[in-house]
Amino acid sequence: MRKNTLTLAFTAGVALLGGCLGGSPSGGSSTGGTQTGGGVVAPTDPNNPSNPSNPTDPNNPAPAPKVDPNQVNLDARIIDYGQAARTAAVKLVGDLPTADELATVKDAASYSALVDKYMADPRFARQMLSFYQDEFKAGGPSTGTRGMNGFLPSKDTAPTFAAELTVQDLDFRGIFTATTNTCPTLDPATGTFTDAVCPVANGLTTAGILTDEGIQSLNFSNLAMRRVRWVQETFLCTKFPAEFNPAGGVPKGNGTYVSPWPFDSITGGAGSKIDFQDASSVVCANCHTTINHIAPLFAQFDAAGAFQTAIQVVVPVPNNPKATRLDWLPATENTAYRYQKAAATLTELGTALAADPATAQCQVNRLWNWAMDKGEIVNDAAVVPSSTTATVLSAYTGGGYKMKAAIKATFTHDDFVKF
Amino acid sequence: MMRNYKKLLSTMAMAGFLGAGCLGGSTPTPTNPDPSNPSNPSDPSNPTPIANNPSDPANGNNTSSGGTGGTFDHMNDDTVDPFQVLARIQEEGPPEVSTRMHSCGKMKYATLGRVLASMGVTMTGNGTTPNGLFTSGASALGKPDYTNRTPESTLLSTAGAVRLYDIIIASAPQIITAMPNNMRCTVGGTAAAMFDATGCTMAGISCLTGAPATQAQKDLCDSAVASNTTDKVGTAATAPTVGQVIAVASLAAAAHSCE
Repeated sequence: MRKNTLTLAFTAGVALLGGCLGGSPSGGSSTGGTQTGGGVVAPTDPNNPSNPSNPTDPNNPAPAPKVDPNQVNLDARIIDYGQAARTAAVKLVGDLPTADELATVKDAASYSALVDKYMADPRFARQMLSFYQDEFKAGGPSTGTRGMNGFLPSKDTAPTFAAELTVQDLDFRGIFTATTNTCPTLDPATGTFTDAVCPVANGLTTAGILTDEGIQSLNFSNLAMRRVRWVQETFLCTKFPAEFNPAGGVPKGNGTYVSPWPFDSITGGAGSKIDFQDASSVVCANCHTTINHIAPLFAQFDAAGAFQTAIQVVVPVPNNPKATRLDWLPATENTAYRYQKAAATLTELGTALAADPATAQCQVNRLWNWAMDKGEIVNDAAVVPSSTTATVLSAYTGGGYKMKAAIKATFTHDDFVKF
Repeated sequence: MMRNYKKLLSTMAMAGFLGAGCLGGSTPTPTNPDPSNPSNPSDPSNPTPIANNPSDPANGNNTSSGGTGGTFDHMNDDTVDPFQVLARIQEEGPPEVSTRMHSCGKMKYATLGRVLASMGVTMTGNGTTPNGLFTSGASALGKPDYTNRTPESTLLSTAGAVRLYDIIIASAPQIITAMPNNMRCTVGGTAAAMFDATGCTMAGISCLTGAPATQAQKDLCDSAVASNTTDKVGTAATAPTVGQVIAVASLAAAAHSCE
């Protein structure tokens, strides 16, 4: 079945390449003349009767240049600051604009001022919390009593911290690297955040929301795989596999091994509880070389998200034994963020994530999809070309990784104000 | 552009890898042949699972996981259908184009509640009241379920659209009545009314949709009002006519189908 899925994917890919990319982006054709830089066909020689599109022959005029319907759609848009104000208000303050606000919007400057006003509105904090709850797929208060059976921590702390970084115009890379006050609370009525320190025990050092007990609890799973996947999909915007060997893949079993890691850098073979080196159906190591080098870092969080002194996750084999380090990696291997990028602790993992340009691009692309009403970037494959968000990324990274700068750049973007 | 397509293709193809059952490739070796062990090899009725055994019909040919003989299922149901992606690209254009244009995203559930309230709708009550329809329609309207790691839906489903229209139709009489007292719709202290002697007002339409009104909207609104000027929705002398309710509901439903 998986092979069929792959076949479908590649079939669709071929169709995409053949069907969508066959013509030039500007609508030119590859027949009947010389392809010019602009994609328009130029007749070769008007004096040559063999030229089938001789423009001097009234019975055989040159064909009109093809029109790219995509470009037509783009060109058909017009700037509408009134509509932009409506959708900006709905997203940034969660309500329709007032008639007075609409009356003030006349041009780019007045519209830009309205966006600033919304980002200073107390309701903006509530909207950011909602945005990050959806991004993190996490939300809701704690249940039960801490220290008692059945207690589950708040799932709001991580999105609230992200909202605080945004609203208070702080360096958003703190989402990976902050060492304290990562469990704030929000009064939605006033938009006021109150700092709070997340519970830490057993030698845990806070690393942004990577150590958030709500996130850890929500993504508790066998071998801590779900926690790794959550980080990948939330902050890198792609599913696994995450690494590809620049030298290309090599045949392995019934598939192709594409990871840059040595194949035997993860657990497998006879005697292992889980054979991550299996290649009988698909090549597990394509994903698990990356996953298994990260997962042990999350293994000591229990089902309630509390950090313990020993590994808390289990192996999905009969009797569900507690995992050991050897269930992910051979004894000679160390944890790492990526190939040749060691990460011995969650703090080092957070530092690596903060330094990865892909996390900045991902955050900007998620913001863009939210503003433009696109689907979920991973689950819906709502990919955003980097060319679309280039100016937003520049505003974000160039301004010190401030989300407010990215939001302003998005909501005043030429594409945002056109309908 | 080509490179981005390759990236997309790579993402689509590798989605299958993600869903693959790597754990299924192992043959666990129980250390204790305990009868309570669900995969006790000494029990012929409950043999040791042999994942990816092609002779096991539960596994199928080249299946990755999910068979009864497997040890773990990677939840392959969350992979993206490449044909859906292809259809989307064919309809909307390549991502380099489609991402630059607004889509019609669903208004968030909580936002819809606030918008209704801001239009003067009473957000209490049960049953077929606006609030009753709003509350009981939470799932259809795509309210998030974070406990199950499900974010707010970004698109309006058919069921959600039907419920949204039901809510707005039920709300229309209240919206009309409340508009003259709606502070959100005052300009310079002057209140807006949805209707005047000639039909719909531009200020009223703008209040309703949250954006500057267009002449096309006014023409549609006037036409709906004129369709029935005698029957009333309600018993009060000031109750709006059926035509007025249709006009308001039509405009509001169209406007608030998209965020």
